[in-house]
Amino acid sequence: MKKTYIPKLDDLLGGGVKEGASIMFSASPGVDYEAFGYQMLNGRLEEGSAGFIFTNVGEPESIIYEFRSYGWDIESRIENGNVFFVDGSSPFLGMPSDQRYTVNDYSEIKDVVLRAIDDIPGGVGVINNLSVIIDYLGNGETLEIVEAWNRRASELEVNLVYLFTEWDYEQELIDRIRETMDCVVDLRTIEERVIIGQGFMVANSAWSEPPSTMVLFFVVQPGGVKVYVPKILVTGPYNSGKSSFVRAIATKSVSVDRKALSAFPTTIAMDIGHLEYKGFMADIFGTPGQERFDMILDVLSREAVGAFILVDSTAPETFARAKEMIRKTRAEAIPKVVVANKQDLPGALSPEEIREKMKLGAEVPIVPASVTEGWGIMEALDTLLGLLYGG
Amino acid sequence: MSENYSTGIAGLDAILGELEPGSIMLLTGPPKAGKTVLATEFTYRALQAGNPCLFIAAEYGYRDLQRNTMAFNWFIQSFADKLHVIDLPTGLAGGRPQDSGNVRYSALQNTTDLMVKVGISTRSLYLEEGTMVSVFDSASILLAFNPPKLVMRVLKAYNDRVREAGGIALVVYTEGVAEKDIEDEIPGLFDVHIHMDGSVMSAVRGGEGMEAP
Repeated sequence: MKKTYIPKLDDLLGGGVKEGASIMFSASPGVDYEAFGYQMLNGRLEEGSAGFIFTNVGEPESIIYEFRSYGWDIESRIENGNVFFVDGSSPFLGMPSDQRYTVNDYSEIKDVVLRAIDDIPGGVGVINNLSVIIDYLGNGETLEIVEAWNRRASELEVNLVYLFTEWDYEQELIDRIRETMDCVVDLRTIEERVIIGQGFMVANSAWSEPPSTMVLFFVVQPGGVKVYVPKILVTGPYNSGKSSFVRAIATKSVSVDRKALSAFPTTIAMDIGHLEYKGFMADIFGTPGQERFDMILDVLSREAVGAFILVDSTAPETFARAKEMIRKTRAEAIPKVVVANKQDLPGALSPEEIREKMKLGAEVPIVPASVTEGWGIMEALDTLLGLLYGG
Repeated sequence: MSENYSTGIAGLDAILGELEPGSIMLLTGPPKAGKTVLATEFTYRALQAGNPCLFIAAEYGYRDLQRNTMAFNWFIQSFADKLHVIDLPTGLAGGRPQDSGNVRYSALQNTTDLMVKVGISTRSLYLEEGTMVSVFDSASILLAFNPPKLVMRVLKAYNDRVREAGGIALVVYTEGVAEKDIEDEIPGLFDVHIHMDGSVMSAVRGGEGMEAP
C-alpha cells in the first residue's frame, strides 16, 4: 500500500492506495482540488519515488509556483530528474516548452503519456485535468485512452492520479469514467445558497470498503489540504434548553454551569460537546442565552458550519430574542434547524405557529421536540446533517 | 439582491426596465462596438449605488481595468472594499502576481481554478452584503484558450453561482469568435440578450425585443 498523504484519506482507504491502482479526485465545479493531486505527488517524491505531472491547465512554471506556495520543494527534484512534466499547456498558449515531454496536438496524448508512465516504474503520475481532455477529444476516445494508461500503469505499479471536474456531462459518461478507475474520491461543495464549505468522501475503492464519511477540508498555502472537524452551534434564548440539548446529542460533553444566586442553573460560558453520528464528526458549541454574554457570541460562532436554534415553544415572548441570536451568531448564512423545544408542556405553540410568529421562511426546518422527554432530538440532528450533506 | 435592480445607465434602463435578482445578461456585438465601455460603466454604476461587484477580467488585467475606467473619470479604486476582481491574463505575461485583498489571479486555461475563485467571491460577497453584481469581460477570450464545449460548461457554472447569490450578471461576448453552432447556443444560457452594433442597442428578454437608438 502507498500513502496518499491526504489527511484522513489513508484511514478511509484502509492504509492508502494499492500499488499500481488509479485514483480519481472527482470534483464539483468550484471545489479547490488541485492540491489533492499535488500533495499526493509531493509525499511520494519525499519517499523517493519518481513522478510526473501532465498538465493542460497551466504551464509548468505556474505549477512549480503553486508547489512553492504550498511549501513543497519540487524544483530540486526536477533538477535531480525524479519528477518531470508532460506539458500539454505551453504549446496551446503559443509558448515554447523545454519539458521532457510536450503534447503539441491532442492526437499525440495517448502515446506521450504512455512513455511518461514507462519512465516512472513504482511512481506516481498526476493527470491534470481529465475534463479538458474529454472536451478536446470526445467521450469515447478519452475512455479508451484512460483505459490504456491505467493498464500500463498497473503493469508498472505506477499510481495514476486523475483530477476531474464534473461539469455538466451526461451521467452515463461520468459513470463510465468512474468505472475505469480503481478508486474514486468525490469532492463536493456544501451549499446554503452559496458554497460554504468543501468535503471529500471515498465513493468506491477496489481494495477496501470505505465508510461513507464526509470529511470537510480546506486548502491552505502553505500547507495544502487540511481537514477540519466542523463546528455546530447551538444557540437560542435563555432557558430554551440548549445545555440539555447539547448533552442529549453529544457523545461527550462538558457544561460550564453555575448555580447562581437563584435556584436556576444557567450556562455562563458555554457548552462543549463532541458528536460522532453516521460517520460524521463534529464539535458542538452551545452559546449562553443571556444578552450580557452577547460579546462572545461572535467568537463562539466563528467557523460554525451549521446551527441549531432552540426555542421554548411555550414562550413566544422570547422569539424576538431567538431571531436576534440567529443574527448575532451569523446563523443566517449557514444551514440551520429550529428546534421547537418543550412541546410536552401545556400551551406549546405548533411548529407552524412558531414559523409565523418568528417570520421564518419555508427553507428553515422547524422540528418539534421535547429534550427532557428525549424525543425530536435525533430528528433535528438528521435534518441538519441532511441540509449540510444532502443525506 | 432582494429588490429589483436598475443599472443606472439611462439608455440601458430604458430598454431593460428593472431586472429581477438572478438575472444574467449577455452583451454581444462586433469588435469596437463599445461593449467593454458599457460593461465598465455597468460596474462603476453598481459600485456607486453601493452594490458589491465581482469583475472577471479576461481580456485585460486589473491594472488595465483601472486605467480604462479612469479615462472616463470612473475611479473604481475608491470602491476597493466592494470590488472583487479575478484577473485571468496577467499571469500569462510570465509574472506571478500574488493575490491581494480583493484581487485574485487565475489563468485563462484553468477553468477549474477560475470557478473556485468565482465561488470564493460569490460566497464572501453574499455573506457580507447579501447582494452582488458581476461582470465577465469577456467570455470570448476564454474560447481562444479552451475547447468551446468546456467554455459553455464554465458559463453555465458561472451563471449558477451568480443566481445562487441572487446577483445580477453581465457577460460580454464578441461576435465571430466561436463556430456558428456554439454562437447560436450561447444566448440560450442567458435571461436577457443585449446586442450592440455601434449605433443601435437592442435587447431581448423573455422573447420580447426592445430597441433604442
